[in-house]
Amino acid sequence: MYARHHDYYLPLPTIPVNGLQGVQLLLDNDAPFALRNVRKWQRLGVPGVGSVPWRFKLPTGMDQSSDFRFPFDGFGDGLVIRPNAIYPPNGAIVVDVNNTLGAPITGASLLFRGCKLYRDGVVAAPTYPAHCSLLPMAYEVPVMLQPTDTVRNIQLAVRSNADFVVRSMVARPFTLLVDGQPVPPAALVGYYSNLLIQLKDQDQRPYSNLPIPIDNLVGNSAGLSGWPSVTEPGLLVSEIYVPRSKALYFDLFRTDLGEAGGRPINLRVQFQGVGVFQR
Amino acid sequence: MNALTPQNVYRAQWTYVTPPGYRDEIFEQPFFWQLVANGQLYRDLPIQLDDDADFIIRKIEFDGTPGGGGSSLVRFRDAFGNPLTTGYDNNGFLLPNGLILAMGFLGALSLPLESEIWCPAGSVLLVDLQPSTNGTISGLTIPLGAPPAFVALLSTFVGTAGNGRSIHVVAPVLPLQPLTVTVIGLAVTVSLATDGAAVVTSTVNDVIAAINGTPAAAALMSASLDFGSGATIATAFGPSAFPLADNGFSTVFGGTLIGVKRFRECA
Repeated sequence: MYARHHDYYLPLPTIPVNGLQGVQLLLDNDAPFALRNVRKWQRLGVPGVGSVPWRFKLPTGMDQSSDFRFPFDGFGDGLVIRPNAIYPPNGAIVVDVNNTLGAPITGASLLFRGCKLYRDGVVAAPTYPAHCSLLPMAYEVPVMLQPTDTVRNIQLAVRSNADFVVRSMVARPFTLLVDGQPVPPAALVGYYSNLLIQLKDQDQRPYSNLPIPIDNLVGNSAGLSGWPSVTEPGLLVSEIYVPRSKALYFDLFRTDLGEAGGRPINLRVQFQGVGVFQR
Repeated sequence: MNALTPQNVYRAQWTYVTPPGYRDEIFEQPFFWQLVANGQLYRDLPIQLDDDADFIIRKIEFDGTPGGGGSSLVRFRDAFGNPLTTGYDNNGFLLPNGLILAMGFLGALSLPLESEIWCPAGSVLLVDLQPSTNGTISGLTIPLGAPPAFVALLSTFVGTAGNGRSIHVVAPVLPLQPLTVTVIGLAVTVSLATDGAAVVTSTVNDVIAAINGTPAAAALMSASLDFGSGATIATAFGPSAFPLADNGFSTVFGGTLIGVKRFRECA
């Protein structure tokens, strides 16, 4: 069996004062989904942060919680689901959300992280050779983004000397400034507030159903984006094995209207893991 | 069967086993360099390891943002010259990705290394470092309009090379004046447009576009909307000189290698 990292992102509709019951997240039909982590997200600047307690149903139909979870839970690293909850193909995760703000809440969402479980041979599943040496490795891909921008199929090209296993990611805006040199376009301290990412494999097969808020996938050690501000590298579970000379791809979608002051950013997306050298 | 074929080998450090005949003792190796942070590339900065025992590195903490200044690009090589960072787009330079300023300095490499890195006794690790300047860029944020929208003006050169700029936004008293930008030396003057009643008609966005669209002015400064509505009708401002900028200064970069020294047990 092959476990492949997958995120299911559920943007919630406007949550009325009396909450929402029975919101369905429909799952794909290609493989069962092992749920391992649930986290909450809300767009920066929208009122109601921390006022959305939630709960969901397990594959058996039983509620995962006897009552709505405390409103602030689920930020940051999220709720670890152990043991994993395994949903069947074409299944659904049913969610109830409450509203403790007293006014409608917009821009809230839930992220369900885990693995799709494929039978051997259904999808490409490269793995370690029988004899190899490992060395910690990191790749970084710089991407220039305008305040409103969509950049697709950005490539992480793995070198030909070793396979690369991606275990975690970080992303941060950064512009190198050199005394006496022209100021680059993204020189002002820039940050993002609404930036989505969708990771894809060599065959453009996505690792999520929708583009997800980037901090949920990569962590953000700069801590300047909207909530939640994850300060450790985001872990991929399970790790992603990329053979030498192959590639990963990702799309970025940025819609920072007024929040980021309309500034471009030079985003450096970093992939961390291990190089696998065949022996 | 290859023990690595189980799909996930990311494991806690405590699962590493000390080989028979050896004794591991936790050890930290601090390192630091005094460098001028001005955007210059520093190559082959050494980290000399002790020669009494092999050192197994399990974590690298790196302070890439000292002194409250900019951040750094870094490239590490192990004791055998193997790069630990790579990529086609950036020659292997990456951000250590610390939290900014006073919040602490967790780096991209400041997490447990999988796998650990074996360094023979007395070996040297090499680091290439390119710190962004901890100097400044001369700039000024000016209010235009009522209620004001704020326009960020930034010199076009980093450090002292970008000093000396000034800005003056003039509201003419005559009717039917066009929006113009004039440059004398390092001084930029924007004269706002007026209608038949000599009322200003230029918006903040118009001013920004005029500065950025006039080659002589764009060579000195860039303009962007920092806060407020660009549709605000602009008002007079200045003349006002940009504050002076500084070049980068010397500061200490460094971190800590964390791992174990592996001693051979006496027979």
